[in-house]
Amino acid sequence: MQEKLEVFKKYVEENQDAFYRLAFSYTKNYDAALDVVQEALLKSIDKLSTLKNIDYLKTWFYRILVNEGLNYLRKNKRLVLVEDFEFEKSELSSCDNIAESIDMYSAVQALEPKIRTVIILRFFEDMKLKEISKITKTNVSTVKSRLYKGLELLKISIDEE
Amino acid sequence: MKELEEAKKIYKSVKSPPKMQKIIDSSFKNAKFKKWNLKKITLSTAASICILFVALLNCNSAFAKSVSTIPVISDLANVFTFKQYSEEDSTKHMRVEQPKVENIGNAELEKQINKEINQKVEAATKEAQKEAEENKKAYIQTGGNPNDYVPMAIDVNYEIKSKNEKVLSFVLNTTWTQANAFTEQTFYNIDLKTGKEITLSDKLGKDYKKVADESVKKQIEERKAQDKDQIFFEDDAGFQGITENQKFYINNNGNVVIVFAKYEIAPGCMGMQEFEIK
Repeated sequence: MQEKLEVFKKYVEENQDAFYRLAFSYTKNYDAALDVVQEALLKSIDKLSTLKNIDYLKTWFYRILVNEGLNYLRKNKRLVLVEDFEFEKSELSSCDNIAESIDMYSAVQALEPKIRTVIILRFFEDMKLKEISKITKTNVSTVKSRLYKGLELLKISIDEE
Repeated sequence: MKELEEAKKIYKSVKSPPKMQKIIDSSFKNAKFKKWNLKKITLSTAASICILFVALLNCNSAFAKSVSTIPVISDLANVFTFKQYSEEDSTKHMRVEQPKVENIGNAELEKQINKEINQKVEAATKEAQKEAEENKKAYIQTGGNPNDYVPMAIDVNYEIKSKNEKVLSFVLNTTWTQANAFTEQTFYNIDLKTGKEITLSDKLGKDYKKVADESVKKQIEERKAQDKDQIFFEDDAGFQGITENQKFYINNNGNVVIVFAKYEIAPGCMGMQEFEIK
């Protein structure tokens, strides 16, 4: 158990940026995003003994994190506004139409939470549909339909198997 | 697709704040304490406080003077999270944080309160389960798409209203949320000196009903005068005086706060109403 805990801690530390980003996409608020991650951490540490195969750590933890994010939205049903976000201009050096991509970023953030989760995990975190289906506890065809719905809303057409 | 790639760059440029590492460290640190049960921690903390006191008393006369005002023993009276779990499926999302009291100075009352809390939590979760299933069934039967169904959220938690050497006052909240939210509250006010539940007459005297009624009425009028958006039901539907089992808690000033549930004396949009009786 102690060993498992250490593996988990290392995994969390290495991926903390990704977890924070995902939590932030639900809360749109710095403190609340940290709360969501913390809540997810405490729950998962508590339940770690139920995780039989450490290979599933990623999807298992993401599932808890996504649930916490959605829980946050349910608890705070009022309108969540997209706050100004900071980003390093240098990282966008290759980007020749920043305005359009910021719009796309905001558009993704404005999607309905369940659809947004799928879009973020698939395109921003490069996850496979099967992984997403495990994380969101839905079957692959539901993930696919949410993905298409999201792309349709974003007015993007791509070939996705 | 190119825009999505660029949006990805923006997304990835968000970095976790420095505070994150602290949160990770503290979360994992707590994990190691899980092996201990809560009682042990309370006792060992009390023991270490005693040792610290003795050490400080010997070397600091100013501290020795102030120490008499710090209640050591009754500080052990506590309400803590006894059970915490969550359950999720397609019909509901349930989160339960069940409290338990200990060392309130009356074993009988302690047992009774803990039993009652347990029964309330069990009943609420069972009822919610049943209702959630029925709601989903009705939703699908009336032509709703099962994938679009928003599960019912059930939240059971507690909140300490005040805690000192004399009083322990806390509330058990059960909230059901689906389109609309409703919270059922159960208040516990314990006199730690006598080990009994505090009644309104203990706090407000023999004429407690008159005192409370007048104060609440006055405060309703004050609120309406101050803000025209404050709406209360009028006449028969409005405030008719406190009831026999009036809900209240003791706040940090040691004052009684009378509580009304949503819809009880005002429209739902006004939410729950609280009146401090000074």
